[in-house]
Amino acid sequence: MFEGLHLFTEALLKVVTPMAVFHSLWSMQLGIIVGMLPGLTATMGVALLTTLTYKMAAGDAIIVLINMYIGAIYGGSRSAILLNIPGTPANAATTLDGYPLAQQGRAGGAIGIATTSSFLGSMIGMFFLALFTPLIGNVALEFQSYEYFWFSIFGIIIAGNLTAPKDPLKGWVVGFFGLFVSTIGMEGIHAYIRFGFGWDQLGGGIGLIPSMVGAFGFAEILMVMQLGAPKIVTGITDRVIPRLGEITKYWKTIFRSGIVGTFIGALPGVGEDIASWMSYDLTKRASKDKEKFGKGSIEGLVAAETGNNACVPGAIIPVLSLAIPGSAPAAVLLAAMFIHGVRPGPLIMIEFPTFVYEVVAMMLLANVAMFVLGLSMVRTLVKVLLIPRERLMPVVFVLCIIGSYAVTTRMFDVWVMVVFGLIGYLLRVMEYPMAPLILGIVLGDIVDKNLRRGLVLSDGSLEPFLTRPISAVLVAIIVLVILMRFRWFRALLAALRSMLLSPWAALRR
Amino acid sequence: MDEKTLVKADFITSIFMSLFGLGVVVESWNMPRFAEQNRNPWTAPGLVPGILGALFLLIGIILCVRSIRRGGHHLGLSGLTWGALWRNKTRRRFALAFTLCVFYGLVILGRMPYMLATGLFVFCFIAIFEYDPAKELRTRLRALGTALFQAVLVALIVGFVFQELFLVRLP
Repeated sequence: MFEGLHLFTEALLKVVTPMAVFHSLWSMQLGIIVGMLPGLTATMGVALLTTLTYKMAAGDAIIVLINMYIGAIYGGSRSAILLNIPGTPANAATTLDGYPLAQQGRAGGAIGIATTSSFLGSMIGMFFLALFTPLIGNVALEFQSYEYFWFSIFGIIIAGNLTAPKDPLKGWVVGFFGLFVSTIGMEGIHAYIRFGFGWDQLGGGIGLIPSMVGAFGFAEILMVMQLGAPKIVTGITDRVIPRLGEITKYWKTIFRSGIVGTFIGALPGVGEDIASWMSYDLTKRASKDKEKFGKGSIEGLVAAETGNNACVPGAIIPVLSLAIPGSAPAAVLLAAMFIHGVRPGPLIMIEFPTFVYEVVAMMLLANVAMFVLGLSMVRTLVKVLLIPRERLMPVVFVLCIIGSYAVTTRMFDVWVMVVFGLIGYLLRVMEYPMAPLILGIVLGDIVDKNLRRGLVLSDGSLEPFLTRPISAVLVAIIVLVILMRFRWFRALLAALRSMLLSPWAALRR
Repeated sequence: MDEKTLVKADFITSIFMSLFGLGVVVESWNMPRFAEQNRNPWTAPGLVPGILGALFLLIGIILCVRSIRRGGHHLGLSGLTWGALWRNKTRRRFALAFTLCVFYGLVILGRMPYMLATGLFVFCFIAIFEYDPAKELRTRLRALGTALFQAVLVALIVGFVFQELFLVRLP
């Protein structure tokens, strides 16, 4: 632990330079604006900035991207509070209590509490990032092809389950579609071009950045343009900076939501929206003032904003330790790390031992920037929300084009962006979740290579896939998650539970 | 989307999904196995896509059966006309936004200077959505003027910032 602290201190001294502070401030402010504007998401912000930072040094680029990520997740709380429209999906739970508070003339206070909660959530997540990443990385060194295969499938199944709770089948099929998309192009063992149909461009595969910009950017533009103009709560007339007592009163909520948010973030592909809802839901169940939730409960607001921002460092844990993203923006961050020559994964503590702590230091810088900028210029920045969508969305689309085109300078990537935008729009309208699609594209190569390698090693036998300890646990969880969607299985579990508990109940009587 | 329309959409999607899955399975089966090069058959390129195709087929059939049970196969298309689709404001806004974006991204971009294409797109987008023929002439001209001003500003700023400051090549 002391070695970790020593490495963190060294990393902090290395990372915090005047240039880093400058990059942190402008990218955090941009992130807050991106998050505030419905139609712009954290994923899109990080994807577009990946293009901009292509020519920057790796350290500066990652600082910029982390600031954009955190800023956008936090910034969405502004529109959630003032417009009753979440700036990003991560802020949907914030609307439940943030907007009623604004309607009661407490918009400034709500924003101040959201800022402080986001800061504290992010700090809790950051602590776990520093603690668990090296530990998980060490465990992952034991992983072979079998474990990687099952962990990727586990990610798809759990992401599908949590992002489409009403109909997990839709979540799973979208994840499998993402896996399929990743198989298009040259495969990694024989260099055979799959599904190219003689078209060179398709033979090069479907890029992650253009597909993400399409699915999260262009699709969002189409969704936003369908709707009429929102009504804004005008004027922030009350105090923004919260009193210490207003925050410390909810210390249990903050810790609970911070831990839940971090844990949800660490699950592959699940993301900040689920973290926010789970934190909100658990807090409501545990609260003595349940009836206030949905009517302007500060506790509800604290839970939602702590949870979604704690998810950000949580999502980076599997990025660094396993090279598997914990959320859609984390997937882009992972791609950006590869572009800049950093190789996250189990070997990171061997190849780049100080990098994990440098990322923690960057997160600390970003959190401080968020806290400072979040509590200042609130009244000025609200004016950004008044920009009509008809004037903003074409600019966003221009940026989507640049974001898709700039990395490989192929017009094909622009076509991919447009196609995925249409797919993303249709999926959204038909209530299919988007996160498993992107997770599938990222994990596809891992699934493909490791399944084939595993079968070669076992000479076609499925035994090691099912009997190795970590694999067996993962298979059991996957099977359990799938079976839980069947009513007969849930009834069977309930019957078993009452059968096991009834002797204890009789004894107590 | 309301529940009734969603079930119909699920029915149509399930058919496409099943056909897509079948196509993927067939295409994967036809991929070479490199047996003549003594390669291990478990490394065949078609293995994973074939499994995925089978999963799409299976899930497509499950979704199809489920949506038929919920009456999704009664599509009720007889009353549907293009006029009815166009009169729906939400769909009209979607169609306009999509057409303009696709026209910019896939038709004019790369075929004329970037700043001109971008300026044209931004101007048309704002003008089409903000122009209201019911309003008086001065208001309409002001709307067009604002659209033109923003179009020129965006084209110049975006072009300059990305090309000169961030050294990013633009289409």
